Amino acid sequence: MIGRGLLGIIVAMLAIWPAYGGDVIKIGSLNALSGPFGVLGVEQSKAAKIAVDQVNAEGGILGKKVEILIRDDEASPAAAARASRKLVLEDKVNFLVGVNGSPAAFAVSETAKRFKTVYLSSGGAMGAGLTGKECNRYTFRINQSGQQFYRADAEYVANTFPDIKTVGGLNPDYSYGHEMWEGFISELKKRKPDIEVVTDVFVPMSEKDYTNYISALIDKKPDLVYSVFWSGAGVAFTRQAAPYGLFEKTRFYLAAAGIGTTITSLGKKMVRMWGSEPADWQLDNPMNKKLVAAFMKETGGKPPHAYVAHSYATIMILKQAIEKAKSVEPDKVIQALEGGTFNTPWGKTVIRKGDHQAMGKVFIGEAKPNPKFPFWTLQDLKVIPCEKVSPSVSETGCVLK
Amino acid sequence: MVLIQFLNGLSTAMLLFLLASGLTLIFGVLRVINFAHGSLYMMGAYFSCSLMHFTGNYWITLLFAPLLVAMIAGLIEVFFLRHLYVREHEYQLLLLYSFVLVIDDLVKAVWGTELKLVQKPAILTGSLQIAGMDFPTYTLLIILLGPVVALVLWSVLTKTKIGKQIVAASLDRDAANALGMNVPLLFTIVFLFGSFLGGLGGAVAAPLRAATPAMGLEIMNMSFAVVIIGGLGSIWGAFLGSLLIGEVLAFGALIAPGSVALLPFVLMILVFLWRPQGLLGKGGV
Repeated sequence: MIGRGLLGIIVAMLAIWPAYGGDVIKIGSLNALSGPFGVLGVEQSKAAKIAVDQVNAEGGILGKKVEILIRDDEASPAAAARASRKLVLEDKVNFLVGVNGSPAAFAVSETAKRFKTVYLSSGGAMGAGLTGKECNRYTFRINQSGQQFYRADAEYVANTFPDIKTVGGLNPDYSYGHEMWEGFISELKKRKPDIEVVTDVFVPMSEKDYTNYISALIDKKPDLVYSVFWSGAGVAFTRQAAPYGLFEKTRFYLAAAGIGTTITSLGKKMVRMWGSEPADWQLDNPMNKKLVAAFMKETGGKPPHAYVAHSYATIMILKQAIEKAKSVEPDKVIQALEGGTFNTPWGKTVIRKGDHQAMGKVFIGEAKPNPKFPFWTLQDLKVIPCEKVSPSVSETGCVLK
Repeated sequence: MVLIQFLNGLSTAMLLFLLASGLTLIFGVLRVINFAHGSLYMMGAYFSCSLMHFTGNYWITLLFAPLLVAMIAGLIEVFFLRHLYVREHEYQLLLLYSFVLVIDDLVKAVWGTELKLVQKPAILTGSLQIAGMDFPTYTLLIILLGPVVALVLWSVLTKTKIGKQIVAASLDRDAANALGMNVPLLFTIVFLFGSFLGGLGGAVAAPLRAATPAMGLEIMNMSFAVVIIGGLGSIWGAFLGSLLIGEVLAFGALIAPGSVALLPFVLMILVFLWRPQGLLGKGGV
């Protein structure tokens, strides 16, 4: 707490520090630091800070020091628009990163376009539009789109559980929950035309008591339940559903990174389920190991979930792009980003030129106890490259302007 | 299935009752709408999280978390709220609303924004077989706690001297004062006790729902609906209102899961049109 206060003061001091011509590169980081997604945003900001510290410790970018300005987007479009404009106009940041949730990310994407500032989205904004109909030249999505996720989910479910005949859905009642569920079912039906949907329930975001929905779900006896609950909702749901025996009675599939935030929060109180993630902290590569070590040192042993890796990755991708462009000029950096291949904590990743969507990987596995750790981990990981499950650029409807 | 869903509804109802009873008690006696009740509930959850961490004993936590909340509420009453009883309601609302903001930020500063998990006691972690289905043991505790609290409240108010004084002060505080009762002390006690119930709600809810900074605001809407349906100031009204809302939510989720969030408020509006004073409301406790 004191650390965060100090951090705030340091950030504030840095913000009023006179910018030394071109000697610093300023990055504005936006995440929900308060509200229901604060759980996620605080850790993501921490990850961006860790990345900046590591970059500076190794001599910065092009010999320039990197400065990070951490702001709260409150996961709200209005707050994100305000904060991002202030970062660009007053703090004169060179780049924007982060933002939690699609509505806020769209707002920042507008700022990026209007003020010609490169923005790397990493906060889990999955709405198709960001790299689809609403795409623009200055916005890049580092995390997976919802489409990439639900196609990978359907692929995995159809191959891993060929015996299932019925599915049920339990999802948050806003555009994201509906988009993911409908997408998953239509993709699953392509692979298993005889699948029967026995229940599809949408729960209001404000709901904290899931018990009423749990019994109703068990009563319908689905062979598999597909859900995209995330952050606090995933954790609360899992804890409430366990004593009802839901996780023994059906296969519960928690998609699109929901499982990652749930497993790291619940630790050894996790239950058996399956799910997909955009990265995994157990991956064996130097960049990931460096991130995991630094993050676990700060959190006292709590492993980072996938969005922590994504937040970290935006800084590392920017570093590689700026070094390739040998400049912080937006046009040159865009050129370096488009179609480029970058090192990330989940391996080499291409950013597609046509719509600025990163072609990462979807990691799918089963949550199980792990004798090596005092908490559960995602195991038997299947890796589905996004190239295999992405809609083509023309399908996305993106025309870069 | 119907039985299990009925029990689920009961557990929601009894948790709501813990909050609504405190809310309605404070209103009935002090004529103050305790806007900060949700924040007290949240504090109850966070205190139980910390107490559980330090003592590891659930039952100590269940008692002391609400006591800590009541202590803080006592400070609020003695140092701030007390001076505003003579003013219009708006002043009290403003004060209590400012405490909502203060407490919310304090909680974030002390415990952070990430959600906190509280472990259930070992003997209540499992589940029982009811009508051939698993049902969480812990939920049964909540179901039992509601009627116990209602009976304790009812007997204190009707059978004890202090209870009768409280009822008297709620009916006519000037007359009670003139008869030599220490009305300010009675008010403090009621505010303390009402807040204790709010904190108890938080402590009971924490193992079930996890402690988050937004939990206070979320439950306030529902608690207000309960109190309006039952009748402001009526303990049994709060009990009845909780039961109605709990079961409406439970069976709503079974029949029309898409619109279940709306149902309590539809019910509230209907009651409001039919009996504006609430089902059992008549003023006084």
